[in-house]
Amino acid sequence: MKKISFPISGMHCASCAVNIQRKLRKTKGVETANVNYANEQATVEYDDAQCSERDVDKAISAIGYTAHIGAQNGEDIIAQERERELKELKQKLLYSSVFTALLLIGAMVPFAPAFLKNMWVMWLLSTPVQFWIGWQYYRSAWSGLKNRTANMDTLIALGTSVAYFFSVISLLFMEFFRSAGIEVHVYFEVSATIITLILLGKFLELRAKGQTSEAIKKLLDLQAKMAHVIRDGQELELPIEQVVKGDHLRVLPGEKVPLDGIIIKGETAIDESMVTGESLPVEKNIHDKVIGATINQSGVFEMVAEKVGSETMLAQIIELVKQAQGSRAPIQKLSDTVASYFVPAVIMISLATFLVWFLIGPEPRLMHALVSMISVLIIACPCALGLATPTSIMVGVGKGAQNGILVKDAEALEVASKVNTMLFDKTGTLTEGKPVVQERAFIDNVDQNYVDSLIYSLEKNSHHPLATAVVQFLEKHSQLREVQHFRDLSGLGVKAVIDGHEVLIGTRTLMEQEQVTLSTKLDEVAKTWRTKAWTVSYVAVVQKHVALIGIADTLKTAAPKTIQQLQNMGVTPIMMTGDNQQTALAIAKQAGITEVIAEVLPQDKEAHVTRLKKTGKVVAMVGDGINDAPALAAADVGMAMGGGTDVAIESAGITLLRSDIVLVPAALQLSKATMRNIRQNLGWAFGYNLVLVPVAMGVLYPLLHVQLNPMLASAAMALSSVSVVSNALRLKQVRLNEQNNKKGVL
Amino acid sequence: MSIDRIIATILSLSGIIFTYWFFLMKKESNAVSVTDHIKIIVDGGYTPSVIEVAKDKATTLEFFRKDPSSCLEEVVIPDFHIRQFLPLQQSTEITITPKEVGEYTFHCGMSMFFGKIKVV
Repeated sequence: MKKISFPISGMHCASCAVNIQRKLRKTKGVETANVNYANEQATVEYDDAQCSERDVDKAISAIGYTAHIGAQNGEDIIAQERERELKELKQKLLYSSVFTALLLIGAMVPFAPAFLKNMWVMWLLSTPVQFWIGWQYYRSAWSGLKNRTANMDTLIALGTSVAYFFSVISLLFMEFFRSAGIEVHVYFEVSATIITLILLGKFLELRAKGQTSEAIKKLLDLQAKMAHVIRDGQELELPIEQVVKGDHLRVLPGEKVPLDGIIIKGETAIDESMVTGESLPVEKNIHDKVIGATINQSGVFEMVAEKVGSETMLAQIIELVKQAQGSRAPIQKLSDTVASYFVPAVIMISLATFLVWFLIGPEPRLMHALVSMISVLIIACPCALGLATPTSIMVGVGKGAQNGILVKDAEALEVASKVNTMLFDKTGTLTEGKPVVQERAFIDNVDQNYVDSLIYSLEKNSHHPLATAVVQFLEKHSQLREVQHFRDLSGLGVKAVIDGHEVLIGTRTLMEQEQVTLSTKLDEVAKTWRTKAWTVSYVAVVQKHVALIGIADTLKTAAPKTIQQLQNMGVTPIMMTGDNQQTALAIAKQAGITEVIAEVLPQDKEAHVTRLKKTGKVVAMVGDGINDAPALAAADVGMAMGGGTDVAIESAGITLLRSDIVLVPAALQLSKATMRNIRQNLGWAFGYNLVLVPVAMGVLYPLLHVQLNPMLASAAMALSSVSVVSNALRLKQVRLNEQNNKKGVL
Repeated sequence: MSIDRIIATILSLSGIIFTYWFFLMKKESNAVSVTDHIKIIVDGGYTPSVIEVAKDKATTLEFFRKDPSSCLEEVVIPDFHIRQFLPLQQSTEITITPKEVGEYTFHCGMSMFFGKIKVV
């Protein structure tokens, strides 16, 4: 019995799925067949003695659909292709090295065996390197010529051909040249060495390039493969592709959460670090959302699958990373333009070099002219220019994703490195975004525990966010008592009878309305709390004011340190809020922010961003991504602080996957590190060509009487692109979010 | 000037002029109009290299890579945020739905081979 799962294309409605399923079940040898229209997947179980993959494929195509049996995801194909290419290169490199080593011994070692010094033997040894190993350069150059374009392979084919064919002609007509008094030389070892070294460079470059896209592969590997699905009271173990929306899934400790959904039974702690970067396990109870690919650490729970296939958070993250890696950074424009003119320019320069040496160079003029021309063709490296920016972007974007920082495109990453002003939306960004009890105060000589249980029992009946905060604060050490005649006095507070006493919790206005005798001592305390921007709830029992509760949306613990860190990075933080000036200043002071824009209506946030931009500042806006969408879009860079499962925040250039303020400076560090890396790469790639092409032309000759050996030129060329890629890979090592990382490892 | 110098001068200068004309004075080929699907051969460049597609319409570009050179292993359409690996001797489909009229370039991973998408 064999079971296969594969995608099917061509379905346009649910009945297509039914048709395919019926056809498959009628096919000889097929035991079970399930076709899922939603995710276009089929799972077939068949007896492999009577049926094969081909029969399944035929059955499906017979009714007009296409089965993609054996289809893998794109990353696997790329990995396989790279592997194949590397293996082929390695083999070629081996043969090429043997031939080249023999040629070099013959040409350079004085006491080498005589037959290796024989020019005809050298010709014999260099020919397979030139046309078998080097065939790929000719092929690629020819394909380009047909389209009137040229690339690096054109230069290599040209350079090595000049060396090779000149040597062949010299060898065949040596007597003729000698009789004419022309001193000639053969360069068989030169052409072979160039090909071998460039092949080595290509091999190293390919190996390194595989690592630049590792982030996507790592993200894909996070995906759970199987799920325990409960259907009709029975638990089935199904591949993830077959789970549909609304399926109930059971998740055991140590397993990956299969998909995004909501817990309906049980409680647990989940390690979400792989998706959001949050290092501590997150407690989850009934009605809490869980994210696919995170790891269930402690309890058994049941969940309803809410998002499947491409809708899951992980799938969206992968898509976003892929898209960002495909975008172009503005800084790339110059190198792109240069790269497109580069090869023809180098060919023209090499011809000019030949001419100058031939016209005014020292004797033997022809030899000097040829050597310089070959060196120019070989040393020029357009690849390094083309690779400089995109490889750094790919590594940088991937690095971000692994740390909970999703970059929308390369442009956002580039602009973020220039940010000098940062606008913070207060609620949920600088503060926790939910009210928490800060302090309680009581009148003298009162049973505080008893009052606490009265408060707890009453607030438990209310659904107001402030009441929830009080319940959370008191539930661990308070007793629940029977509540009678509960009333919600909208906007003012709550009222009920407990243990025969009338209990009242609410605003000062409510106390006045209900003619409660206020405690002067507590009223004074309330005043000081209000200056700290706290909300104050009054508690009265039988019309006597007995206690106060101070509640506030607290500043995130990391906020002051983060603000300090941003200031050290040269960024001016500004807080923007709808609160009144006094409250806003109180919170800002705690965070260490001096500039505040208070009493801002939600619709005016965007105007403030635009106003700041007009003053010439590079503005980043940090918000929750829901209410702040227009302001995020208006800013030079919008940073949306997530926390939910919705990562496709269109308006933000950068999405932070968890509501953790430390990710803000981390995102800036990432962008600065990436841009620094790009500049190093561009500097290297431009510098390399600007310095070494003139050296190859022979500018040092009049001064130092040295001419660049084409073999050295090929060694330099081989190392130039691999060094660009390797430098980009160093970005993986950058430490984000460390105060001492002003210059970091980069 | 000796005869060999004269010959070398003529040959080199002609080479330079030819290189300039051949590579840099190439006229942009005529745009191929695409209804909803087009096969683009990747072999030393892109054939066709200039295509014309309609605005707001999903168009599938099927890239078939014949060229083993690793320069052409990726196709990048930066304005559409696409960087796609093209397996050798296989078709890879990319679907785009352009929202704005204009000209958008696509190129190989190293920005040496170019093509153009004209959105009308």
